[in-house]
Amino acid sequence: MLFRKMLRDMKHHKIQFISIFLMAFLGVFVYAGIGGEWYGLQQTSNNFYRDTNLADVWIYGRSFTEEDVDKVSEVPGVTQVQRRLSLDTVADFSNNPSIRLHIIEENNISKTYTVSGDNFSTDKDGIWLDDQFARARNLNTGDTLKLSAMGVTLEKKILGTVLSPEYVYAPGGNDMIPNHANFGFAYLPVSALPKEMKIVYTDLLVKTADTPDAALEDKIYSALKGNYSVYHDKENLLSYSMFKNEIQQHKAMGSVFPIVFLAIALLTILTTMTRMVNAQRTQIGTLKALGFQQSAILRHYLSYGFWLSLAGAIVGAAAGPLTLPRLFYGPMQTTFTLPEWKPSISPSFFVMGLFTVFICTLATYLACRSNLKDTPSQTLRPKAPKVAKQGVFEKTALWAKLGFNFQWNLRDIFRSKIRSSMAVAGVLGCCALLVCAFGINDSLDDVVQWQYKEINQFSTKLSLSENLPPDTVEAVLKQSNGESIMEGTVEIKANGVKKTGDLLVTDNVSLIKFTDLNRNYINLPSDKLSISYKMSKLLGVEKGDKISWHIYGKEKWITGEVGEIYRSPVSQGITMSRELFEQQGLEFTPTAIVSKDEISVLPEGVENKWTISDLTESYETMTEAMSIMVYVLITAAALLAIVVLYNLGVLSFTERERELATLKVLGFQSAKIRQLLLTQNIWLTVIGVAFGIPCGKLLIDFMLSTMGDSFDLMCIISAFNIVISILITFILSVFVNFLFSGKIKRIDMVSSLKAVE
Amino acid sequence: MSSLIQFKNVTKEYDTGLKKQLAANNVSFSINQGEFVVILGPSGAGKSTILNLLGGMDFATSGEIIINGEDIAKFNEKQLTAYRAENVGFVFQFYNLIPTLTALENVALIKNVVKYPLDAVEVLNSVGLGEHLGKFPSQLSGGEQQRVSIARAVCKNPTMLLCDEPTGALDSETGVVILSLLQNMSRKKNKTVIIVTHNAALAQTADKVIKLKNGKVTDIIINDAPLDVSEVNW
Repeated sequence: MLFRKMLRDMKHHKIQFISIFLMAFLGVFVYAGIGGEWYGLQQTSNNFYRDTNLADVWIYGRSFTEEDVDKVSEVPGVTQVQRRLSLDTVADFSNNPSIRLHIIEENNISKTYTVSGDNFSTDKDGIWLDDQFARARNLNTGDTLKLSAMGVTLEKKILGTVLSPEYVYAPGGNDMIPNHANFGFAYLPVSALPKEMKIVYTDLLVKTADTPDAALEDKIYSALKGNYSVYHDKENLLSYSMFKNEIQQHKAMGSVFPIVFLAIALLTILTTMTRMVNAQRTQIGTLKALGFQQSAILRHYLSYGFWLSLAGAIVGAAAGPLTLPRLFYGPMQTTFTLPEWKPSISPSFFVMGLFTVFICTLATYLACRSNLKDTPSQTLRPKAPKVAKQGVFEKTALWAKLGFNFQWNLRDIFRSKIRSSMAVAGVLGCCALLVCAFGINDSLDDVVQWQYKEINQFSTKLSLSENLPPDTVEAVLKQSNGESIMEGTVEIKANGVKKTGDLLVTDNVSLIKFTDLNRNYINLPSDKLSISYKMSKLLGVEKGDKISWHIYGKEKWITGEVGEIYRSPVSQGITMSRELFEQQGLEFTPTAIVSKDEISVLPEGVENKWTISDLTESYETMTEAMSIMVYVLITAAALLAIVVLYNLGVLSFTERERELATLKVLGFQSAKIRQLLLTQNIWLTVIGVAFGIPCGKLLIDFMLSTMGDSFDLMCIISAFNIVISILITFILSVFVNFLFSGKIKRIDMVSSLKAVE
Repeated sequence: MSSLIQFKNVTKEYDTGLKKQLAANNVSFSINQGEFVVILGPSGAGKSTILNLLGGMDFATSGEIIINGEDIAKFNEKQLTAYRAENVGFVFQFYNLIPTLTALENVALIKNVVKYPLDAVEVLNSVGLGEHLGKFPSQLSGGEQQRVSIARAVCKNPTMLLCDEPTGALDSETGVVILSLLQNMSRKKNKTVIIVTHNAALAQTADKVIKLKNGKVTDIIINDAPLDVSEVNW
């Protein structure tokens, strides 16, 4: 019977109960939705890495013998070793796409994942091609692929198309997002090579029992007597770390927002249930007088919060993973390659759901507790009104001059503190989410300005083919009226921390500028190396400190003093002049030419051309997942505001109906009453907005910090977008108020005056 | 002399969906300036309906309600609100004060709806609450709250004071004080005071008694020598 009472009560107060449901739903929905998204990515990628037995450590050198393989195998902690030859080849198609060719003896570590055709086999004579490249170039199993490298041409039948765990994120050359038509990979069994060809093995793939650490590196170093150029583990594999970062980023975002919703849900429940139980005070007394046990009545009221939040949590946990991940997977597929894109359900969703239900039920308990403690006789009588007191301020002449609107609203706010703080919290949450969403958008957009207008002042970047004779480079320089740079990858070491970063060597370059921490232009010293701000933080170094570095592929470590720290949004590493670079005994081999001119015909020796808009576009594609997150946030913020403010409106409206009716009988026009309520709404909104903006900025900072090591974005939000956030918040607030104007008109003056409080 | 208030064949029909109910059936009466009138009847007689129509809180189905020469039965919502603001001072059974405003502020509130209100402090003094101006309703007794409510009604300087069971929630001693206050408004200040009640004892104190039953006026009694409130045996 009490269950029936609950259902009828819910019907009666449907707005409040719907909003409790919605809050519990939204919290769990966003959590499980974004959770299902990143958890799905994590699961699929982990399965992919496990099934294909992704290597834990890569060692690159000039030539590894079978003896080397044995020596590394004997190192304690190493479980499996495989060697292979990796070389860059050019495929015989338009634009000369590059194919990274792996020639392998066996397919045990970093195995291929077959998409079509035969499984990889060391006995067959043929090639297994990157599935994405095959798609982009319309190649099928059975077609022939012609590759050339170092003057040798190889023609092989494609036996299958495959994916590789080392190529989840695989942009070629200067790309930021993969262009599958221009870069791919292929696997070839050693047996398929012509017999007369002498083969050297450049890579060692190592599987380890535990996560590889520095001690392992030392052991391998001594086993190979230092006879290699690069050693890096999984965390330093670009493909692996980029994808991991991406997941990390989504995870961070997906965990923060539900907390905001949950907090609001709590406030909603607290106010609604307090009001409800107060309103049903005499009913509670009646039930007690009838002989219901205290616990039975408590259970009855607890069930309101329990069932609603349970329903919200279940629907949210079910609907979230079904809908939200699809939004993200589409744009992510242009950047990352995985065998499948499938959301997963993590046990943590249920924990979160249960937590929500528990918290909501607890809030209900706190709301009813005081009313249930009283004896039936006390409870049957209406609650004694709170004794109000006049403050000092209220006795001043100023107070009297403030007028009725002001006096009424100020006292009303203080009389119902919970309701007011809930309104402030709702507005604050809404405004903070909006500021955060717009701020992230601005910060991402700002990089386009910063990196591609302020730092890069060139309009075209030409990437050069490898091993060009100096006079060809000279000719390109002349023809393009450009300046040459050398880009590469380096390992940097300081204070016992080792990081992989970008290297930039400039040869009297004026078209690339550098900015300091506050984005002012600075000149870098030519006799010392400079380090990017984020890298300096990661390594814990400052100006004047020494760091060691070496280029990938060269074994020699070089130590130098940090002469300057510059800030760069998308590239972290070190920069130096050509003179300093050559002083270290290294050869300056330009990899790209930058020019202010528009270049239509590619000069001889140029592999690829990038215009600033190409670069900007690829950056924007890469940040698309983030942009979607922004839209999800804006929608959530708007929903949050509407639900909270509407619920609040209903609450305060019913609470004050009698008062409003009195005002109406006294002759206040409806418009004046609406204005009265609007005033309070605006005050509370102003307070919420005032706190919401700084909270939003904190959220932006947090979000940007989740973007990973290579990004160093500035927290930027334009004044215009702050104004827009404030405006949206106010419009929602006033809009909700507007919804009540009809209700004010319909107040039944007669009956609300007759009822006893 | 034409009357201040005239009900001419006023009918009010409520449509409950199941059946139509006549809450006021062809009601006619008139009230003059300065009269102390009691509208008397058992519950369900249509007292509240008459009060609502007179107070401009509801629309009549048919008939004319002439107040100061104007037919308010033809008014729209907005005009009715303005009519309430300027002409009617309400006194309720449950006082209906704004709990977040002090006694003085509750009365001063009238400034927001009436152009030329009386001075709030003076009015409160005249109902004997000069000492309690700064107190909130919750700090006042029932009788005191009702006096604030009367002060609020009087402050408007309205055409009529409309009182709905003004002593219904008070003990008889306090009730006498409140009723004397209202009777004096009529006798000394020439205010038109209309009291709606089911308490027949009040009839002796009125200049005019309008008796209702089943939505119809059954009797209108003019009292040539009404008793003083204090003379009545409650």
